[in-house]
Amino acid sequence: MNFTFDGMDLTGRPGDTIAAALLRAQMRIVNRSFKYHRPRGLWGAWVEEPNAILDVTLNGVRTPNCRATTTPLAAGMAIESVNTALTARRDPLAVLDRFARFIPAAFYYKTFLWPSWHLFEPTIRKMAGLGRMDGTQDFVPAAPQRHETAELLVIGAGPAGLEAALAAARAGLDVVLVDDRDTPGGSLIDRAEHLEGQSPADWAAAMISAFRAAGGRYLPATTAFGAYDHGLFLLAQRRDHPAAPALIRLRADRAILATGAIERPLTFVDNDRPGILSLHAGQAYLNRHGVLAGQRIAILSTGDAQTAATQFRAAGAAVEVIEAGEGRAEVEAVHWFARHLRGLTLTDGRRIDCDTILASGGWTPAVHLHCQTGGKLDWREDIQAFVPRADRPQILTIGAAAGTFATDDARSDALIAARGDRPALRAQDPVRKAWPQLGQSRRAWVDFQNDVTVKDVELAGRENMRAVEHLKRYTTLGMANDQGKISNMPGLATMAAIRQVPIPEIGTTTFRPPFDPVSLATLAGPKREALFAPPKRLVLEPLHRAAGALMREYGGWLRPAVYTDVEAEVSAARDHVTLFDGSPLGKIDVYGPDAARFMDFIYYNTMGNLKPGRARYGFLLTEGGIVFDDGILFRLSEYHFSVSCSSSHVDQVANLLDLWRQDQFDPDRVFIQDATPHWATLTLAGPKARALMARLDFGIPLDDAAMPHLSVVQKDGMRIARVSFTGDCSYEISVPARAAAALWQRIVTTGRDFGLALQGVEALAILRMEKGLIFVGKDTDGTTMPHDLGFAAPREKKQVEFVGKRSLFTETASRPDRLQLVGLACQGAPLPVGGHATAPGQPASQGYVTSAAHSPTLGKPIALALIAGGLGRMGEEVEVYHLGQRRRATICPGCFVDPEWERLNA
Amino acid sequence: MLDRDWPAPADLSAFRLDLPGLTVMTIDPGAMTLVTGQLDAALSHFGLDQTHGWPGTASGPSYAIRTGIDRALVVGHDLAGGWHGAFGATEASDALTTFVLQGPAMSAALLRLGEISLTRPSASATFLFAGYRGVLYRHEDALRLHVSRPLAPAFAGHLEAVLADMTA
Amino acid sequence: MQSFPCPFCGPRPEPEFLFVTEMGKTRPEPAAEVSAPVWAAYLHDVKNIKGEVAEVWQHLPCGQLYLMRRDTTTMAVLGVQSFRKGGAA
Repeated sequence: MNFTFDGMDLTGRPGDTIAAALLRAQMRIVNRSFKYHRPRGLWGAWVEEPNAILDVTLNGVRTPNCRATTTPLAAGMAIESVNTALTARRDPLAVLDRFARFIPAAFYYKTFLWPSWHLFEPTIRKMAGLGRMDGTQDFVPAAPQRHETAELLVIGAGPAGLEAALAAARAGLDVVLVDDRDTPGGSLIDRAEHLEGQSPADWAAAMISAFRAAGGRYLPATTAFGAYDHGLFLLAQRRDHPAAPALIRLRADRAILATGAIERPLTFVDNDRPGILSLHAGQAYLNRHGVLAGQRIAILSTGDAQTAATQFRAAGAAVEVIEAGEGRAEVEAVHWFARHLRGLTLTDGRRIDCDTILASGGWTPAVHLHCQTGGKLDWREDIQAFVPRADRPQILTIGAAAGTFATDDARSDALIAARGDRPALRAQDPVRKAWPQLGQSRRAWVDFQNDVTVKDVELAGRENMRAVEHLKRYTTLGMANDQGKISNMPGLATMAAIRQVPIPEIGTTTFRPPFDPVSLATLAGPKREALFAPPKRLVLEPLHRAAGALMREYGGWLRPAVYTDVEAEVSAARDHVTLFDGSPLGKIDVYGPDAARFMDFIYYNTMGNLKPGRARYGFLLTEGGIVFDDGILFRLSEYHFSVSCSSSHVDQVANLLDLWRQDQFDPDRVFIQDATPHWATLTLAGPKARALMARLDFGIPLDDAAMPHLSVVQKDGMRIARVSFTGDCSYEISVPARAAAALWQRIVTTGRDFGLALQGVEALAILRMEKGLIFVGKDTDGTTMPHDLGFAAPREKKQVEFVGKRSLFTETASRPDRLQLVGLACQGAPLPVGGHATAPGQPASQGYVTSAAHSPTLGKPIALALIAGGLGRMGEEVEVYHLGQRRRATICPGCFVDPEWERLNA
Repeated sequence: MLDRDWPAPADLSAFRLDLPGLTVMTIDPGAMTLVTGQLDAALSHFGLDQTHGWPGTASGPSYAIRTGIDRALVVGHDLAGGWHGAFGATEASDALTTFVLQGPAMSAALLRLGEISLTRPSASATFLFAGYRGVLYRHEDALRLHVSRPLAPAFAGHLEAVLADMTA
Repeated sequence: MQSFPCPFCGPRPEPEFLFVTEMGKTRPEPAAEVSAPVWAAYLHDVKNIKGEVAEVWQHLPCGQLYLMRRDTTTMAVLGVQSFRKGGAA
């Protein structure tokens, strides 16, 4: 398979990861380090890899920051190193390494501050970060998501996981087994460890067949990246590059974690040089991909490396095995010349020539999923590692993840765990310690990806950042996208040495999902772009569009903003009659013998005495006395009310009513049902509205006695209400949605004789403003109470208990300087909405402008504002400040047009 | 965001998804009424003898689905809205859009809508799928799903998106 | 995403639920006889117990208000109880 790396043409084999292919092509230097731009090569062979983060372009799609060890190679990939000014091999920015002592951990708190951090910030920010995005690609295809359930989830298809999954499936449980590799076997494959006379691949494949035959579900190439409460696990199921993995939300009654262990590096001077890999990775490249990490290999190990050495020799490499750790010689120096590793020298004087160092400092159990749901860890002095405390029966850990490294022991424990029992603790022979040395004059790397050295940890210690969370954040150790898989333990051990306490006293930082980086597309799923927050649609939308309406979102609905011209629509509403689609207005049915009493409790205003067929404008308050919604309440019969609340609040109001009904009343005597979506509401408003209604002839009398302002009639499946949102005589005709289009057409046709115009939401806003009619949330804020709006009577007179009543009488509620809704008159252009009002020449804000527009009806600008004590300051002048400009305005009543409200009865 | 241009939605009466093992389309199930109050009184008014929960066993043109302790959706009947002595009736024939899912892959489809399983019963047949409220139940050999009509175009798009990766 | 039981509907995912209040908050009435500190405590004070709590939750699809006892450290659900006749299925 052909591919390119930093412009060089290379070849890989089917089944290669990008890392295996690069290693096969002897690309020793694959990247540059984050801060110092030092050359870096591969360290690991799977998720623990810290260095080989590369940008991959395939079929024109560029995916930044792919990890080479876990990305399968595909023909035609163009792969680039990141964080380099040129290529991985040649990077002019490597000169930064010479200035290392000026850019240690946390340098940005101390340097580049004078004369101003902002002088340096753009350059430094440009140099931070790893890969590069393609600016022309603005759409990443959605990743699928689905739910799954299982009685038992087994994570890891190594020897322990396979045994546990098979045993549980045979016992009749519904088992799901996940593993992040394409093929099962785990570390057996890496080490070419034969089992029961079979090759590890054959043994694992046979286990999977038996597992499936017993009814088990096996999900390969699937990473369990998060463990959450109540047995929820999030799985990322890999798909072909560059598609983001699919997300599976799996809820399991029980889980068994067989997630293995991660090999530790050895910390010595220049341990970040290309050609230094983990011993286990060296075996994995050989046994999985047939690639030798080098020809002359020096193995540095705290454990037994003879089996590995034999495998490398059998493949043709010259191998020297050196024992590392406590009581053994340390690495004195690494010889690096002309971009190649040449050898190393030990403290006992031995010099070994080699082109590759395979290092092993022991094993760290992968405890992440256990800890993510609050599982605790215990320190095991014998293996120098943290292991999961078996404190919850629903999540058991087995195998290397529990500190049990011998394959036979792991398999036995797996059978115990499959039954739901806890395996007994198995003490091991003490391992040789190989923790970092303090006081070195040259740098030894702890966190490769964030370029954190032992010196940085020592610096943190000197600066009193000695708690493990401070150490992490001050040095950024463990914060890169490898999340400290190989760096956390050496870092903790170094701080323990500095503080001269045992390692468990340092503790660990909190483990949080994801275990491995996960694409945002995987998490986002389908709710994005148009599906993210889709607006509700009107049944009349096709007619609005046909009439040329500009459709915009208002309060969660897509509505006609304007058909022709906003000011022309306003004038039509004042001079003739307009037709407006009022369908979004809420219609919540309240029924039952206690409905009237309930309405008195829910509303600020007295409502229980409404007569059937009448309506009243009122406010819904929070218990804090704040105006939550306003609207009209209709009484349709003795035991039937309809709450007409703001269109943007319908779900919340319906839910609030249901809560109060269950909490404060007998829910068998009052009932709630949201009726809103069944109805379409067509509104006629204007001086000719009544005449048009007469011509339309719905068979109801229209005189003021039979149908006064604020009344409702039900006839032939319609509801016709006389309410006004514009101040003019106005009717709302509600019909089932399927009848709306025919009614709309009939009104439009009949209305021609009356100068009928279609009216959008923008014109409505101006019409309301002209009358001082508020929009809750625009002309009110989080402190506005009904008496601030001029509606003081219920506060003074209503005897019965209602929501928020006590809050209306607090000290704050009674202050005379509360923000009150008033009008503002000015000259010239409309005032800026949000502009703050001050006494002339004074700096302190006394309130702000909430709505402003040019009034076509009056031919001058109008505005509404919340002004401190405004209702008692009529005629006073204020200044309105906005972005450096000051305008003069005069406080006036909020109703600018027809202050006597005579137009209502036209 | 509020300045966004939204294209006109497709006509839902022609909505249809053909997937391996599953078809999805819309139907008009006839009149619908939401009732709340003493459900026994409401049922006997319509001549029905039970309500169905999830998964339920509704069949024929006329049945009642339990949506809450004292709430139900009656399909196949309408009734003038108002208080009827022991229960309230709310006209709903135009309030809900009805989707039908049919085929051997119905269970797999449910797992893409939410944590819903035919083997986990619920007294109420109402669910919240990714923010959409729906009434879901088994009707003969298919699944019926009602969502609020104004959100139905968006829900149809949501269905299309979440079911896209269904394999046989 | 936790899984909570509704007494009527059975186990459902967390986004279907609304936390209403800590159990035991009685609304002080009538307003004229309620002192400011008592009303403020009703509005704002929460015990926020670490450990076993009794809470009022609402299951949004069916609308039922009910009592749920939980452990706020282990996230375990200890039990649920309906406030209504016929509220448990």
